[in-house]
Amino acid sequence: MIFKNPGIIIIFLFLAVLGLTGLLYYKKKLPSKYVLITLRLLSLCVLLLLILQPVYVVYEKKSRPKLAVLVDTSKSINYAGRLTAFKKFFSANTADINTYFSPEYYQFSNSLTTLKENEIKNLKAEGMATAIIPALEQLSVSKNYDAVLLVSDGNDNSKKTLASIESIIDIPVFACYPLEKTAPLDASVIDIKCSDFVFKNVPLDITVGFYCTGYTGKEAVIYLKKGKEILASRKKYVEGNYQEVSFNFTSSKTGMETYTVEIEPLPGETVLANNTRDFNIETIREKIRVLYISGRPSAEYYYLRHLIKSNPSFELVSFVILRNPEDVAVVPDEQLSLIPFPEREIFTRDLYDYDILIMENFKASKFYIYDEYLNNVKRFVKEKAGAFLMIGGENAFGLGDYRSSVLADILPVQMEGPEELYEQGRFKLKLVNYTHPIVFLSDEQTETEKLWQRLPEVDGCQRLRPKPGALVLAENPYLKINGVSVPVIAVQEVGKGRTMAVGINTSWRWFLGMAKEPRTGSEYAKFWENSLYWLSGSEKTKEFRVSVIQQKYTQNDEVKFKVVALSDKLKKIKPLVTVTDPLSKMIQIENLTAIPEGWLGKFKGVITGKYEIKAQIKEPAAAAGGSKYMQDNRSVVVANESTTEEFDLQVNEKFMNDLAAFTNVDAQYIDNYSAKAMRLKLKNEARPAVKKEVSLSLFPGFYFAIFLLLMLEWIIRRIKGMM
Amino acid sequence: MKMLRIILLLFLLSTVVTAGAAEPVGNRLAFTQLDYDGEWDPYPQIYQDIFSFLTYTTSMEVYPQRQTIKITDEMLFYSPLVIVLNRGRFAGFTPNERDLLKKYINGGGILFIEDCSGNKYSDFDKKIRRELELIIPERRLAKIPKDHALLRSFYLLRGIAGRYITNNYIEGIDISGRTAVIYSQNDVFGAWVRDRYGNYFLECVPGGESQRFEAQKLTINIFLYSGTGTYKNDFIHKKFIEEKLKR
Repeated sequence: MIFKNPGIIIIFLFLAVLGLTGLLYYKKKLPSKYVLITLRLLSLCVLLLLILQPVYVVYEKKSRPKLAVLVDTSKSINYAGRLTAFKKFFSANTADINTYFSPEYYQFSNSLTTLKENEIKNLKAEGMATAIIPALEQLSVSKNYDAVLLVSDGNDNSKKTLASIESIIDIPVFACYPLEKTAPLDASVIDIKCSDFVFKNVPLDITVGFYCTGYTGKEAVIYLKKGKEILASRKKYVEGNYQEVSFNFTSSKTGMETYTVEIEPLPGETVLANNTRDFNIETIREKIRVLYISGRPSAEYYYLRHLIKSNPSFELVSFVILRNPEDVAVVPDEQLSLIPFPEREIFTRDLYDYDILIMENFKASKFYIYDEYLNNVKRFVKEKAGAFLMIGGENAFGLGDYRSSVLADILPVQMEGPEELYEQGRFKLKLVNYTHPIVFLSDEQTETEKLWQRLPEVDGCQRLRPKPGALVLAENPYLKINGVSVPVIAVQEVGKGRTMAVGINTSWRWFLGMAKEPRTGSEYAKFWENSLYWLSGSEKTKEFRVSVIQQKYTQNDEVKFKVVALSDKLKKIKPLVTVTDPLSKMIQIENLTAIPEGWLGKFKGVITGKYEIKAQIKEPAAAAGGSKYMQDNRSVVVANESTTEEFDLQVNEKFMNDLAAFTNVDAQYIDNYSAKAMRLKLKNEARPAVKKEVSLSLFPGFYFAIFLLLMLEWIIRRIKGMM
Repeated sequence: MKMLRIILLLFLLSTVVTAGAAEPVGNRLAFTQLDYDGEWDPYPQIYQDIFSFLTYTTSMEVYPQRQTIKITDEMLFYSPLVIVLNRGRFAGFTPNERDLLKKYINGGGILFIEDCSGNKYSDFDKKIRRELELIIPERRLAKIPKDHALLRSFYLLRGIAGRYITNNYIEGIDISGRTAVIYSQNDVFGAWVRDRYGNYFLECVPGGESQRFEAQKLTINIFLYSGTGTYKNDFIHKKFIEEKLKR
């Protein structure tokens, strides 16, 4: 609540109260109770006024309108003699501006800073952005200006719209821009439209938007490059100012790479630096393709299928045998939803399109799939780096006639014959390997052990025996064959691929059985996801890896990375970390800090380009696997601060006209500017400027008035014997 | 139809289902029925017929005994499909039972609920809808569409049958991409009830025996759905199913 002259109100209030009280007291015509009510109401009114926090405003009288002069000092002012033109403009008009206005000068690029009048002749245009709208927003904090004179090329690249200043700017903005009869000859890459990531071997469209000013009818050649290698080129006949070309790009190498779009220099170009633009694309492995064949509908199939189907990292094709050859058909085929099982297509052709083949409780011989086809599964694993997973049941492993099949060569367990029994009975799995990525239900080993112990019992188990060369991860501690515990989960690297055996088919009990817990089914999901990632060779389950917080940084940023070790054994060993900078110079990172996941390191990205972070650790002897060293590497890209200053060279007359019109005045060329005309356009006299504001809630007179009123009330009550 | 009767008689005489089979269930399908405060067991014997037919015509392996469980039983969380039947009185669930059912449904279980009364606005219907609202307040029962996997998990069903045709639809509640609650008011399971001489005991109205067979096919589909999920909605089946449905 603001009062222009609160003193009068206060005095009037006091006088009225005193006068009224005195009059009533003197004449004794009104009953005392009305006097008391009046006094109490008046004291409440004063109290209410205090609650509203009144402010006393002192205004400054101005003889001339106050003008904010904003000068654009962004890099684009260097082109086409704009900076010289600006200096000339001020040299010619400063005297007039001082005559008609009280000016205050500012320069702006990224932000607004004050400027002295005598500094204008030495102005330099080095700003990395033209933030006109943010500058006006910053200016609006002070309410004392009567107008703004904006001198700029109008290339606002703040990505803010005029609407954002609608509620905060209520004074005219006189926009002045340089007159350029012919735009500078220039070709510049403006925009690269493509996804930040691409799947390996999957084509991606890259659309390049570029300006080609002054070259209508000429031919521009645009290249897509990786380093110095030209990946593709396009020719474009220039028909207008803005042009677009598209590239179809396919990456075959995973990881982050920097690519360049380059326009071949055209004759007489103003700036060549804007002909190229770098961008980064991360190539990631495409979805893991899973082929899942199940021998019959069951809870195991229902839950595992749902899990794989729900995870966007996987692409699932599944077949479940709904009717065996011996089952009876009681209705004609067209009333059944069954489709023929395409065993020939799967095992001779389609298999190679997948990363993982799962056979769950599936007896191949029942469907006339013999060694000829199963041999392709073996080839798929050994030669094509595929993965094979067999899940148990009365149609799996030995019971499924696989002991004498070629699959026995690649499965990580030894099987009994088809006469074996599927062991009944519930039991808790005993984990015997705590370091394999498949068993990590948590990043912490101790937590992982606890989680495995908490998992519900499974029901039933295949009679299997460990196989030399394979790795047993879990076993049935209550079932032994020849004194050796029966393996339940076992894995093996076979040729180029991997295989896994799961000798149970009630893992779904880990899902539904944990439904009472707050983290429903997460252990079940983690186990199967770990298994599928490991089988496919995906790096997600690497037990030692480099992890970066972000993949793109701005020059001089601090790049932070983590070296994550999943097992406690690996965490104890300090890794050797090297960083290779864009100039191929390698440095060792010494300042590694221990964190719960492993180690944290950092370095400064001084040079722009790609940095390769490589971590290496000597594997403890007890850990599984064959290699002596474990290593992982990640790359990050350090780029220049993003700017369009050097890419968009044209004067943006439209923006300047729109901005001026938005505040109900006109924009004009700097050559046509007249301070006198501008002064005439300001219809009202100078608005009073606020000199100071005083909060009246701190004024003691109000508290005194309340005290006085209450005191009078007390006196009257005392006199009248109303206490 | 004659052929069908012979086949049905054959499987009745067969000894696929034998009482007193040994524990445990393993990965087999169990006929798990909920025992609650109300008329929960209108058809105590039908599971034998249903499972005989199921094993005779499909690859599903079944646990030959019926399991009756209470909501508070630990077994609830080891039963992927739980059948809830009612014909008459229903006292509702306690807050603890609702909490457990909520965890069961959200945690991966499937509830098949059937109002066997044939009355569209039965007391059970009112109460079970209210119970479901309390158990899963964020979701409501909705009609299961004609192309739902439930209607094509084994038999291609063009309509919804039962002992009554109270509704020409089944309702369901989807959670995380799977139908976790299936609700029928058509007394689908009533179509399986026989007398001591092996004759069907309850009449199917209005369609008679053909309606009964459609109800039995729907029953088989419900059990197959509990073992296959949305398998029949996979792209690979689409062309085949559409072609068959056009015939």
